[in-house]
Amino acid sequence: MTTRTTRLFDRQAGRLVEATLYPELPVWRLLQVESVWGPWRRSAVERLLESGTFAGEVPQHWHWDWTRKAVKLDLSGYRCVGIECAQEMQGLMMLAVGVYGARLPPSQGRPFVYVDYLESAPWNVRPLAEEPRYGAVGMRLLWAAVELSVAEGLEGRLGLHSLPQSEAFYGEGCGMAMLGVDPDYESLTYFEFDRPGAEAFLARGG
Amino acid sequence: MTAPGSPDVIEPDQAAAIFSFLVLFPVIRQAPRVYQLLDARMGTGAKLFLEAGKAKKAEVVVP
Repeated sequence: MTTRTTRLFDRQAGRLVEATLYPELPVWRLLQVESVWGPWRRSAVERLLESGTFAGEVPQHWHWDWTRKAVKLDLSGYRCVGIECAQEMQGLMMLAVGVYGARLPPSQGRPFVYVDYLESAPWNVRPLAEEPRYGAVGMRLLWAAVELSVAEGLEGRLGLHSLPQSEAFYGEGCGMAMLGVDPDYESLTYFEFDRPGAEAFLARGG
Repeated sequence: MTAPGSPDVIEPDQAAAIFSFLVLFPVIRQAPRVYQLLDARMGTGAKLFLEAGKAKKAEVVVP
């Protein structure tokens, strides 16, 4: 497994810091990460709810469990990417490479990279953390997914279903095309990069 | 050279078991925390939520 150097934004220090991108994490690493993230998430959500935070403000992914997602690594085409900084995993992303087909014309049905799950460590997410530690985790992971799509000959094509709280990030923040609500996938909104969209995203610089 | 099966040789299956234990220990260590949460919620008659999808939560009602 060849790691790469990337950069995250250290919010406390107010500057970019070096981080390590792992392109293919093994199952045991996901179990290890969830053993840290899981209790952190649950404690943070309990604290928020006890303090009277409106339930709608709690991150919609707080129930995620990477030990359940880890089994997908046995499936062909699935891999998990991670970003580590300060000896802790700061973000995880589950990908299906060449498993599903794109929806945007003129590439409908052509293989692409599907982002199954993407999560930043709970201490990087407001309001789970009062003072989030690292920023740009989601952007770096999505960047890595688009680069992988290019490297695999899939021309940067990439798609995902977004939780409502993340729609602005993928649409306005990353410039992905919004294809509307998908009734076949938990009524979540579907986003996609076609080749020009992916090129524009990469051209913005890492 | 020590023959396989003698006490000072770690067989591959033993090595795998040791490795699994070291990796899974942090996960297992969290189990009491989960039960603590369950106990606390049982006292209040609250609900537990488990992952059933990206947005979907399986609701477990604790009487």
